[in-house]
Amino acid sequence: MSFVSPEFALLCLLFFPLYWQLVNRPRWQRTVMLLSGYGLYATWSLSFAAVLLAYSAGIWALGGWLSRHNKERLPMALALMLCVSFLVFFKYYEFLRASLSAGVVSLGFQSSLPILDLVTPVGVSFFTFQAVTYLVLAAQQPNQVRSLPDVLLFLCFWPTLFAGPILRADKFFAQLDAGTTGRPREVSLALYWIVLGAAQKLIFATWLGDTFVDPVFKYPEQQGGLTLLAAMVGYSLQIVLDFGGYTLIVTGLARLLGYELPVNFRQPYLARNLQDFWTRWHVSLSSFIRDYIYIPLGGNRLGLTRTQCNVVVGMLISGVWHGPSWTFVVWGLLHGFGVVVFNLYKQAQGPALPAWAGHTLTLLFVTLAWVFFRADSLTAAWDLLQGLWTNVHGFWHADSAQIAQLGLFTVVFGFMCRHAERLQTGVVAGLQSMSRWTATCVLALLIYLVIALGPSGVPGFIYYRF
Amino acid sequence: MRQLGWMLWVVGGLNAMLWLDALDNYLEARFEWSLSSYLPRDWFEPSRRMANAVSELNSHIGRRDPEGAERKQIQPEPTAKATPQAMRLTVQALPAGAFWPSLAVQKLTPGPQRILFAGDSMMQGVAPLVIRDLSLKHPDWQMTDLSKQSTGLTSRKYFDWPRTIQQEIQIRNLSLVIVFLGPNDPRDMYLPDKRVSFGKPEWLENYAARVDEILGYAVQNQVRVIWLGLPAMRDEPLQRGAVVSNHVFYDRAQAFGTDYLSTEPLIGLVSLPFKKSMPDDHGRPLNLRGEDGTHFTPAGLHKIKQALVAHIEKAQPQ
Repeated sequence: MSFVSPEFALLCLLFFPLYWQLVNRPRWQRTVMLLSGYGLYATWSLSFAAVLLAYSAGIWALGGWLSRHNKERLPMALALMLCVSFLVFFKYYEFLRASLSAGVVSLGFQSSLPILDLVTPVGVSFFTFQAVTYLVLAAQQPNQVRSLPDVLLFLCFWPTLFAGPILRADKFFAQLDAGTTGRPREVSLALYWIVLGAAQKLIFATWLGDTFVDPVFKYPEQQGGLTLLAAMVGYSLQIVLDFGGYTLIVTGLARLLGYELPVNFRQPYLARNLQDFWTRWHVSLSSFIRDYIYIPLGGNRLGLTRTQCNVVVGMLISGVWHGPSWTFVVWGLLHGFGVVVFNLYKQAQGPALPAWAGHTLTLLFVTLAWVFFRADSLTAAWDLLQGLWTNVHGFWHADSAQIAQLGLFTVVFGFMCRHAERLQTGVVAGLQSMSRWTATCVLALLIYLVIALGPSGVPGFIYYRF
Repeated sequence: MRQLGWMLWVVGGLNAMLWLDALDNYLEARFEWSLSSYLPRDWFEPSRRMANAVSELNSHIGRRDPEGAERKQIQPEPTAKATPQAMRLTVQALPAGAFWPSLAVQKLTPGPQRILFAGDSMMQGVAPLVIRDLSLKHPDWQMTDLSKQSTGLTSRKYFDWPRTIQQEIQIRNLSLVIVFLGPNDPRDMYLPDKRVSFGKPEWLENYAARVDEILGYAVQNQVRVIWLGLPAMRDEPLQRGAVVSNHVFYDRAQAFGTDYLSTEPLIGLVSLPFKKSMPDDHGRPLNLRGEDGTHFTPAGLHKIKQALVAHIEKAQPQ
């Protein structure tokens, strides 16, 4: 069930008042939260919910086992392998089978790996990484090991279940223990985030997708160079508005439930270099990669060469995490090598670039890399990029009105990014100063406008695929 | 918290009233449940009027369907009532291993073709491959892909394919229409005065009438049609739907003298249990179906593309 669907809105109207009624009964409240998580998950597939339940119980058991082998390496490695093999099996089996088969057949042998009728559970990449944070916590701080209901709730916490942000076990349980959950927090801010997120997704991301991105990525050979370039810029904007919008909605919903979610975006397109970009884009994933992969691999403690290798491995995993496709492998490697080039330039003490040049170079690189992220195959990505300079229609063959719209939108978007915090403070202060009825009417009107300017039907979020 | 609860209810209630008509369409298309069966018709009128105003505004600012305004001007003439042969109102499952074979009876008109690709997410996967292939062979052909996911023939309120195709025939002076849809159709149908359960003779009659609207109008205007049949589906309701849909598509194509392209021998027979893979030319298993057991892998799409392109090439005048 999508978070921007009418049925979800109706469920919220029923769920939130009931949830708040139980504020003085935290155990009941958590039970309702747990049941609603499994209920929502079961709307995708009942068998997925059963799989998630079994997986969560397994993670709880592994956590208990690890806590009894205080900081021993072998049990921890085994537990993590079991935890991640679930993800690898469900999400990557077919990709690995097909790639291996192609390799083996090209060498003149027969592949014996069978084709399995597997369905990847929704949100598996997110809850597997959350499970890793719990296992590491249980291994490193055995006194932090939790009860089965707590682990079930952590892995089925519905605001983050389908597309993150990736929760960390220690942060989540700290909120439960502090007793700060269950009561809505910063209501005006939460409502602002929900409406803003819905507008970002329903109005702007779908407009960009429908108008500039989807038709061009579908038929790149029918477009002129400028239209292809517009599609690349359009996708850069679409993905940040889509995933950013999603994150705003779930962060707002979590606030209404009394929970605080990790920050996922810090205006990524204001980054001045690639390293900076990765401290602003999908922060819950990039910080996970840093803390659970890059640093355990040695981080920057083992010399320059090893550090750069660790960077590339981390970025490669970040790419592959998105899906079983060579396009994500290339996207991850591009970013990995991009960061390495930046590190080496810094190491060589090259002259510092002016801020605008660093910003422009970063945006160009990120936009170029998104082509591989969005394309259906490496060939499709390459065809699109090639079309920028060898094109039968010529470079300037484009709908000038549409290009002007995109240009204007990009400028306004850039301006809003720079002033987002000021805007947020102003709107939240405005909402707080309104009477209850005025605020209700304003909210109703804003939601009406978002629906009116949105697409027909319920659009899917880009990150639901991962 | 109680005040916040009330606030959410007021906001939700107001928007539900203001979007009542759209909500009704959505619920009908998604859950086969219609609010209009329970609420007075007058309640829907304000939201319908507001939705029309919003739609006008959206088409002015280039949002949503940019050609919608042009389509609105077109009022296709009704299809001739008399159809060549009425639909048989019972569907008999074919014996295991049998399927409705392809029909290739039409020849394309000489000269460059103007082709429309219509359908749901099945067509969304196939159309780009076919268009790319045909564009290379025939750079002067004009091809339009209007495929839209979650659409079908059952819910006209959500998306009206018969009307859209008729309008497109007029706007683009089409010479060929290719249709590939069906997985969204095995559901109850809401007629103006009643709800008709899926699979009942009345459902079949109405479903066939919608296919007839497309075929009848196309034949009247000398437009060729290739209707693609569905392959086996993993989900039981979709598999039952494929049995019914293929029966209707084949029957109506035969009645109107248009083409039917069976995807069953390529991807999987509806009369046999679902399988994700089929052996390739060298006897190695080839994964043809996506994870959902409905859509196709690139290899599956490639097989359908090859068959469709070959079918079109064969239909060209010598």
